[in-house]
Amino acid sequence: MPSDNKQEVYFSNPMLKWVDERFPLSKVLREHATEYYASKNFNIWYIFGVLSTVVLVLMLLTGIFLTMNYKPSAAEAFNSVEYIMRSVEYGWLMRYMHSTGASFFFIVLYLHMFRGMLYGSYKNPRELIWLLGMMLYFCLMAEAFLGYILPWGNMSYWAAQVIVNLFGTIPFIGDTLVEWIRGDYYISDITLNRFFALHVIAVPLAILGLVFAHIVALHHIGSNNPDGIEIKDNKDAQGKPIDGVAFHPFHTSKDLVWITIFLILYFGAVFFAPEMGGLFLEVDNFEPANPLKTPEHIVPSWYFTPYYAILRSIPDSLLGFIALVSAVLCFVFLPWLDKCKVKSIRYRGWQYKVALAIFVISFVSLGYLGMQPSSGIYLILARLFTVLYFSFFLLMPFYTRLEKTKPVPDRVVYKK
Amino acid sequence: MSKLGRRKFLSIATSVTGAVGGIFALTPFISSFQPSKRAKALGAAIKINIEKIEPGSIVKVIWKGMPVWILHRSEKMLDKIDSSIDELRDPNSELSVQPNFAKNTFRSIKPEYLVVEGVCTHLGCAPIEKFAIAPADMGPDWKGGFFCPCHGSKFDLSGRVFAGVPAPSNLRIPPHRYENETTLIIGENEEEENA
Amino acid sequence: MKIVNKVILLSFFLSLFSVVYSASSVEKKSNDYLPALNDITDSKSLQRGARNFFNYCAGCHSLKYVRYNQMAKDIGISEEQLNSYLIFTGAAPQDVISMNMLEEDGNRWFGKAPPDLSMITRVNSNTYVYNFLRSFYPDKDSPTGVNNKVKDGTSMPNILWVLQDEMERKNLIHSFLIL
Repeated sequence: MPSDNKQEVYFSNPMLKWVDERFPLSKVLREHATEYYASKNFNIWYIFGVLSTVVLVLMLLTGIFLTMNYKPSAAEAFNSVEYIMRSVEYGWLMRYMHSTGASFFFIVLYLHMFRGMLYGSYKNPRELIWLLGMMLYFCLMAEAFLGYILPWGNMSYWAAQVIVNLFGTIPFIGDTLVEWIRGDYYISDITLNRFFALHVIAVPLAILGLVFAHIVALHHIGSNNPDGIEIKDNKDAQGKPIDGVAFHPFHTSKDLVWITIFLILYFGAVFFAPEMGGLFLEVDNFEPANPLKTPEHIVPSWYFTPYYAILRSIPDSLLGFIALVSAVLCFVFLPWLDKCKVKSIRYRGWQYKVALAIFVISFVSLGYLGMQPSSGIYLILARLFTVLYFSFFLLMPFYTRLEKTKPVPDRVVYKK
Repeated sequence: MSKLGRRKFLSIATSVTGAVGGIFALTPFISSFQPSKRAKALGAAIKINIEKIEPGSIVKVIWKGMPVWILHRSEKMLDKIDSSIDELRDPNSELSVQPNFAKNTFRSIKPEYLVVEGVCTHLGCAPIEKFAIAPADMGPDWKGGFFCPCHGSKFDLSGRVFAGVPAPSNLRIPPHRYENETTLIIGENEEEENA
Repeated sequence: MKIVNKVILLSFFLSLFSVVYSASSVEKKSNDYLPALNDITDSKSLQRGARNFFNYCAGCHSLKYVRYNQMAKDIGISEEQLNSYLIFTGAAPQDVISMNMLEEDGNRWFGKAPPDLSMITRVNSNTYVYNFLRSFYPDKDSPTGVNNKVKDGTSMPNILWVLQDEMERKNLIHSFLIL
């Protein structure tokens, strides 16, 4: 390791030196920032991992301040949210930051996952990073679902009803399982309170632990790059990869610019379009939960609608549930389904490019179809795109083996 | 400008902008800790009808979550108001908290009505009224006032603290004013009403 | 970047945008709905609205999340004006607007108690509320003698009938301006 031969002392400040003698501070900073080399040709797709951590921090911070005023009981929850919106100083800002942040988290995350699919970041030796990331995806979906119930609006109630009932389709244990999840014979105050505990403590702790592991796994191998080559194969006389630049200060300074741009977009939404036409904050949720009044269209939040469309396209309830779960799980197997040896889409055959394009169109279309009633032309299209969605994964071992790849360069392609 | 000078300038400019941005960002979070509009509504001024309070009797109300006592002092109480003045720690209310008009013997607008916070200035217990003259438990020199059971602090009929007791200052007088002869408003002073 | 890639990228984002736009609940005109055309920067308009609400609506409908003094601040009136012209109950300015028809009475008298209106324009849009108020028509079969084109079978009477003539005149001008 280059840092074994420490010519320079890392800290000049005596207090930091004192800490450094008792805590691996300079070691961590060297290994993960100032001497962590990442490729110099990172493009825009590489910002979304960083942005995910930014949004995570925003969600944790605003979540804490919301919890200071929110009351997790069926009788008081809805009122407490209006209390936050109208009565608590800047409460409206906390609420809108949190609800907008939830949607932005998924925008950022889907783009982050797409980067992995573009540049083969899930391939050997980075499969574990991908698996940890998938676990984070599942945690985030759970967190979003649990959080949506908390305002106890009418959509909160009915979304809870529908999703919890899905578990009832499992044979033998279904009904017992549903009652166990609810803690009651119906979606009640008890369900709300336990969802609150899971949303505020359990899942955030899991997310924090998984983010830590995800980054540790990444740094252990080293980041990928848009050309899909291993920059550690090409080191200079000091042992530094010649195609890499130190994370700090080069990537940190560049990231700072894009974080600022992201925050401008994010706060644009927070201040000028927090409802985003009913996509970020659904209109039905502005009236209190009413077990006697089902909303006309029960639609989950936009980030779940692709899977919702897949669920509804299968006529049988148990098979539909299995299809939904399988659709999410498909991503997990990507490292092993993809038989092409070349990582980056820049050098892959046309088969993968076409397949990925079809996949993106299917995913977005399923997202739209999930918001529509499940009948007529919408249902036919949903079934078509479900088939295409699964084909992307199931046929992958076959079409990826057929790819005629372009020669992969030795050095990264860096356009000045 | 040299490259190093440029780098330094950019670093400092970014840090300063970041710091300003940080302060802007921190402001709503810190502000959200302030009392909410509901808290302010619940802590708003209250109106009490004082017509029915008999001389010598006391009425207790809650304002901003604190007990506030309205004592209608009888003629006898008013005559004896300064009888313990030598034993008081702060007879002229120099150290205690009260509106400007209450910095007098009676510590009130009208001499016959004492409006006082029933919170002992030592550690916050609620003192008990002891209006009888020289009862057995207060001793022969007791001329009437309040006694705090927690640590034994004593106050006279204007809420002024006796010397040699744990409480450091006189009982607080809340802002108050009279809307008319029969209506007391606790929570607002005369100046605020005219503002 | 090659031209063809730029075209692909552009069409992707355009289609994404149109998907998002059509998926969002942007107000779609149906039958003869007029747009509400609220201008929340016009404080005189807001003050007229408040006057109308407290004179015609507040007897039955509560606004339990709204405080009198916050509303006064938002529409630009002083606390004296609030007390003299808008508070008809014994409420203090810092109280919420809630002393209206009791729920059990409302259920008994109308079949369904008049709902709280604090969130009515977030749940149903401005356009819905505006058109609801102007869509009452006479109906012999209804217990109140009126029905409503926006919400069929509504148990609310046509409270604003006293202003009807004036409204009809203004509506004509309003629809003329839209065209």
